[in-house]
Amino acid sequence: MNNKIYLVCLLLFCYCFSPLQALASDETEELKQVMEDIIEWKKSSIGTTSESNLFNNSFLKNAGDTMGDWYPIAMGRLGYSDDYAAYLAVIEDVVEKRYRTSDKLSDTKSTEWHRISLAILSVGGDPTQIGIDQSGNTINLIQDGTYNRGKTVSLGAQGINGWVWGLITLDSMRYMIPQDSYYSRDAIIKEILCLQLADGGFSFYQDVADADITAMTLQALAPYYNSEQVYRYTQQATGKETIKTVRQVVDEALETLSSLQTAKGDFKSWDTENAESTAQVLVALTALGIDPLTDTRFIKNGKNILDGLYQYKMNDGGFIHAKKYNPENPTSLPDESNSMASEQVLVALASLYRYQNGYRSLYDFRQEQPENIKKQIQLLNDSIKALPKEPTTNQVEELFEQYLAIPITERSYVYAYVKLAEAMEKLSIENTSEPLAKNMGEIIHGSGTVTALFDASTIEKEIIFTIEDVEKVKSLPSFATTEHYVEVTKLLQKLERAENLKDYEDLLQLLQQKKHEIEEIEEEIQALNEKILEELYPFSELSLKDKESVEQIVARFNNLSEYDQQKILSAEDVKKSKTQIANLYRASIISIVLGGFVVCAIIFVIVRVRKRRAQKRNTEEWFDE
Amino acid sequence: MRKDLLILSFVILIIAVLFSGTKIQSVDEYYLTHIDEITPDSETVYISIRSDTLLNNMEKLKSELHVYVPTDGVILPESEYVLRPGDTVFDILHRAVRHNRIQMEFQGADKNIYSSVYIQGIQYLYEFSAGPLSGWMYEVNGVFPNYGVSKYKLKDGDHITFHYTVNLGKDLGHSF
Repeated sequence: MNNKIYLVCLLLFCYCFSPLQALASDETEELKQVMEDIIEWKKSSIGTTSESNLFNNSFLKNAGDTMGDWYPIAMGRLGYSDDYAAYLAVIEDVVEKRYRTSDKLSDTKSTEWHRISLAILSVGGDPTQIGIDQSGNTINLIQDGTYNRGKTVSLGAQGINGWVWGLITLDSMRYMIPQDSYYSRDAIIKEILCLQLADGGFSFYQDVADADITAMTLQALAPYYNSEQVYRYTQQATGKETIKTVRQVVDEALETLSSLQTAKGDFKSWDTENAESTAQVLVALTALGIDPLTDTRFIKNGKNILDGLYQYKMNDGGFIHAKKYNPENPTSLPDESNSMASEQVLVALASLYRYQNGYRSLYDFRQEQPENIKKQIQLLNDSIKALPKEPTTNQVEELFEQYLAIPITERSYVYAYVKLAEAMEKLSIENTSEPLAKNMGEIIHGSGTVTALFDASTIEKEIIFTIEDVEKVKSLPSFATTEHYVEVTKLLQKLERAENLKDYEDLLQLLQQKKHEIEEIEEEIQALNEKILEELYPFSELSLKDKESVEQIVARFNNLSEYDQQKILSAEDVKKSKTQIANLYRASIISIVLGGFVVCAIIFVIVRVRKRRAQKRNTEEWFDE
Repeated sequence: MRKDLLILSFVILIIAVLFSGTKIQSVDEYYLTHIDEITPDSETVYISIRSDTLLNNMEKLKSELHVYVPTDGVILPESEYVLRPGDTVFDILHRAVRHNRIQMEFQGADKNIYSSVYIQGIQYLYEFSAGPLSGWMYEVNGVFPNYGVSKYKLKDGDHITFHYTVNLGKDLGHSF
């Protein structure tokens, strides 16, 4: 029976798909499998099962940092089922907390704003309205981290990364830039173009092209590839006055990048072939609409970039960083899957999957393209590709008109446009297309889109506080510690947004109180750490005068739960000081006792001597008589 | 008479003990409070913290941070610390800045991809405080390891120097 069904299915399958389609679909299935294997590996590496969510409490502790944010970015772009609401809840709270410090997310690293914004978008949140700052204003990470970042610190304070990720973030939802802002898109693009090296690539150290940075730069510039706008700037590396379009710079960088590809299809960074550099190049190519599997510039020795990437795949599903062991990088082993390599590969494969299946590019978080526009673009791409070698003016003009009919913010998806532009130039047809940078803005606010690409399951929109959630609240201990921070934050945020909030207002109060308690503990930990630093050093100068303050510190330390005590950075010194003071105290008591004893002994001796003398005198008197 | 002499000599003994300042401690207590005291047979390492490269590049440093750069560039002159079993560069640095009350901020090993503590700032001088290629680097016996401070296990006699670089180490004679 089962066999029969299988056979029917197989027949149907063969009937429905021509061999070519079947092949393409096999490739897609393989790609899906590789991605799922990475997610499975990551789950098992943090000790959770494949049925459970990756974003469990221990994973959520890393929400808002480099360790945490890339998995949700990759998984969100696939719409792979997981607890996105929990990630959003915790990252929002983390942002609010960090905004209470003077440097907000960071003193000099604007990429903190960028990565966190992208993570928020990936899990369906809105980085322009994420939490409330101290003065009660809504936090807008896009404003603070991109177009107005320069009001605090230059986007370039940390080097080229700041400009590149700033632009990627700004274009993630095609954000509009308000009039009085610090940076325009053109200004950021120009800053990036200035940093092109003499060899055509880009690098962090401003020396020779580096595959990673060149690839990231291409990812940022990709939406402007079709812009005819000309930029005038001084190239930093050569000091030359330069006039170029983004396309010219991208083409040069692509050529450089192509020359960096090895005979195995992968890329190097710091002299080591590795998975992450290869992954970044894959993202760059798909962002530009270049087919990474067939474009001859990126096939070496018959190996394409995916072949290059798969060399790093391990049997457990994860990926390694590099095949050679580097004693200077002991965290990555050539035989052990590595979290960063796996996460970067997952991001890159998600990008490839999106490219191959007609979804928006990796860092474009808008709603997927409406079907009519998608068709329109596909048709145009096909027609441009089908242009004869010597097209007529009419043919070209007609296609150009079709190009202009496509909304400006969608034109980056007309990947074949360059061929049209070249034909126009040849035929001296004036190219009147609008500059893209000035017209890139679409919206001010909006949430990122999570589209389930793997299965038809929709991401739950309606939030209901369930019986299980209630149980979770009830199982919280009566004295919360910072260990429960993630759980409390998650439940509180969920309840606040739940449709059935009215039914659980008592729990809301309870959770708010717990959250408050945890925040107080966090403050106490910080205050105590400062106090310790102030009072206990230098250790050799501790004296009995410090007894009271040391005792206070010890009492406060003992008041903390065992979990929280681990957050006291110098717990050992607290114990040491306590012992020292106790010793000093004991020594002083012993001194007093011994001193008293000495005094008594001396008095005793004096009395005895006097007595003896008196006796002697008496005896002498007696003899005298 | 002899009894008196006995008592007096005892008194003298007690006074001597009091003046010599002997503390009465258990072995554990002694070990705990003397753990960082250098004795002839303790293993030790040396650490210093310097910002000399900034002296020639003060224009790159944010002006409000100028006050934190000592005139000779030396934030911590070479100091000797007891090496405890398993100590890493981070352990020694952390002890040294605490004992000398030097400000330091770091990112925990669980918060970054390198699974190692990352030093963000010492004495209010942070990564990128003096341009995109600026930050803290460390050197052990003349070599700049390319991995985290909490991954580097020390051995007896090691010399650690923390340098503030404005040029990713090129100003320190270190090439990648």
